[in-house]
Amino acid sequence: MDNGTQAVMTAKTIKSDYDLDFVTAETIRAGLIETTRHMRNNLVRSAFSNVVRDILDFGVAVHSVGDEGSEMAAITEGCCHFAFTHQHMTNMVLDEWGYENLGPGDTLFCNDPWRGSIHFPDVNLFRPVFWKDELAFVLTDATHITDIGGPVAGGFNARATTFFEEGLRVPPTLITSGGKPVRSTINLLLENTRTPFENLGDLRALFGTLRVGESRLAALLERYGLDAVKAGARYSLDLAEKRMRRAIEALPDGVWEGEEFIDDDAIGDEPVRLHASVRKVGDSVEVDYSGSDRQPLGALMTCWEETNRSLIGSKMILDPRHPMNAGAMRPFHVLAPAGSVVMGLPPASQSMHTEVAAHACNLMLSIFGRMGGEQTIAVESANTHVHVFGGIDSRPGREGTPWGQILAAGASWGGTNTNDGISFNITAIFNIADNTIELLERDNPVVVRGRNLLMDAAAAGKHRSGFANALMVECLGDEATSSHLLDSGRFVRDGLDGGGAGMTAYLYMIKRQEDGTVRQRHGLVPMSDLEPLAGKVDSTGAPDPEFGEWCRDTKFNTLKLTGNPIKKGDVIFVICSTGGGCGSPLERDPEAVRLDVWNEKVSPDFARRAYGVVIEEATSTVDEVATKELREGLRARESAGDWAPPVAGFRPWPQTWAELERL
Amino acid sequence: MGWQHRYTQQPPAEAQIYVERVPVPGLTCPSCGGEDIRRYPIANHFGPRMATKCQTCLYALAIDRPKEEDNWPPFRAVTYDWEASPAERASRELALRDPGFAMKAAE
Repeated sequence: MDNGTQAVMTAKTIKSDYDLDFVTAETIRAGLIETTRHMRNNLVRSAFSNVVRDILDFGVAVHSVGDEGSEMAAITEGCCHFAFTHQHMTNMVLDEWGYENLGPGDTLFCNDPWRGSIHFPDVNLFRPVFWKDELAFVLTDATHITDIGGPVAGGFNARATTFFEEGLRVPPTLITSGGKPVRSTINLLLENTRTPFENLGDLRALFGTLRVGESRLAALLERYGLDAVKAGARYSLDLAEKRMRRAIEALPDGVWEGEEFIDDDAIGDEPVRLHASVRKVGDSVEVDYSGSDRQPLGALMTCWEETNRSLIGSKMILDPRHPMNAGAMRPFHVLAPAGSVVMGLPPASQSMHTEVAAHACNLMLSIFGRMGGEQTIAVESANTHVHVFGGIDSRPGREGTPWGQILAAGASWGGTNTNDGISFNITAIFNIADNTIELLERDNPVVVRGRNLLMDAAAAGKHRSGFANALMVECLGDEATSSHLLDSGRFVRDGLDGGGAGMTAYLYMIKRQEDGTVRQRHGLVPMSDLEPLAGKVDSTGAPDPEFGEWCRDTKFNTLKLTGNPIKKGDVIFVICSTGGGCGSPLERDPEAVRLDVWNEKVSPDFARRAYGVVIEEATSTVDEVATKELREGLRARESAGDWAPPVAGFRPWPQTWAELERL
Repeated sequence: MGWQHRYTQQPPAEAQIYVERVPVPGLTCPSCGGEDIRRYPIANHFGPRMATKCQTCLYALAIDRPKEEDNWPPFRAVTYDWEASPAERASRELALRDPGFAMKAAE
């Protein structure tokens, strides 16, 4: 058998190593995963906030307690990075509290990033599970709650320079004791936040979820006994480790380097650089973020998370299909220099951590994608593309009620060596769900005027990138604010193996027509209807990802806005960046290009310029002779260094509605 | 550095930041015989650790829990090594006194 199909374990080795027959070992492994699935179902059904029940911004896990600490044996997440952060966070919190100090029915609460949490609005609960007086497992659940206090509703404060301007930082604290809620902790959380009703609902949902996990785990322990379930957890962890080590071993030994840039830190104008080197020897990997920029003054840094969650990029490349657990992290050592953008020092703020996360994950994606494995993926949007709107409701019957909502929209994944990139999918580091727009509009004074595909926005390639959602959101409240988690507006997302680069991100205000309507066609809005807020624009303020100037005469100098005042009738237009293409677009099947043109995803002009494919517009067919001739010419120019795939994006951007109508 | 300085640290002055790999003289790698052995802060799958590794083959001679002077992770609470209060251990103490308490707490 070749290396790709050889079993990493056999029934015989499973019996000798774990004293379990193969079927029982697999049943326990599935049972642990199933425990987390029951927890997930309970949490999604019972949470109050839209960020949990719609967007699925949560994670739930079962950890097996051993001599060295806890190991996450099973995880089900709605938001991908929890599948990596739970492991470190649980050990950091429980090492500090002391396992020996925990009793039955205790639950710890912590939201501190310097102890492995992600950011203050992500609240994490830790519950020991005793079996016959032995602390055998720990259950964790974590969700993003709508508000955690501080100066900005929703917790994303791009103007913060210290964490004191973010909200409540809660060290490990008992939130249940002996099975009863600790009133002082509950009160602390509800009396310092804007959405106490939703927060209490979410906390109760988290309590219930841990109880569901306890009951499912108890059923497993009752049936198989403690020794077998612990052995099954070890088997599960070892299996994930062996699979990961086998994938690493298949790569050549060596050192690879890479870098990513964040537009700015929302305070100053300088880009923020992430750098990493990856050294692979045998079946182990050392990732070193040395050479990264120092922590910026603004809130664009993180303080522990990238030591674990950036490994999402390597997991995607090396072993994407096997269920995640801590075993898959064993082959990696990660170095993150203290004081850098990926290991900021208190009291710095990491309120806008999500953009660092997206770029760090993409850095791993691009480095591991170049290491010679079977799978390659071009970088994706590297963009959170999440927008927070809030204010005081003025709708009849709801006057004076505070509201806040988190709107997540799909980004664009890069092309792969076998397929086009995924469209409308949130960046890999999160991979959460889009909102249910009807529920969003029911609960909040906003209307989503458009969630569109933008023509020509996907990066060209033999396998092109996916498309991102362009959003148009109208405010219905008298007074409100908007905050935007948006990046990759200044630097294009590069293609891989000759693929083209993706489109950059933009923020605009839309000028409505006298009858209140908003005009758009193919996702494009004429420049006459737009007021540029931020982005890489031409002299008219229109998007120009390739030749434009960053924030030329725009209202703001950053895409990371916090508490941006908006009023009734204002419409925000968000264009998300797109990932890179994979492989030369001149190698793309002309029929695939024709289908994209027919589906109004690609314009006939971009088909010619980027793919060298000539479409007969009258018949919607490929002009094969003209295509062959055009491609030969472009290949000759490419060889001479005179041609490269153009950056994605419609060009020239229509200035008037009349121009747009002629498309 | 006093414990209080961990709560409000100054950002570094250098533009780019590097992990310092401190040479450990006198050790030889049991795997490859290399003599460039260094100790530095890492995150392994458990979390923050101090690694003593061969720089030739990356063999780990030791993976230790960080000591206070290692400043790793960069933040550590002053109470980290304090004894837990009775309030924090209330459920544990109940369980020690009443073996059936675990079942009651789970009900």
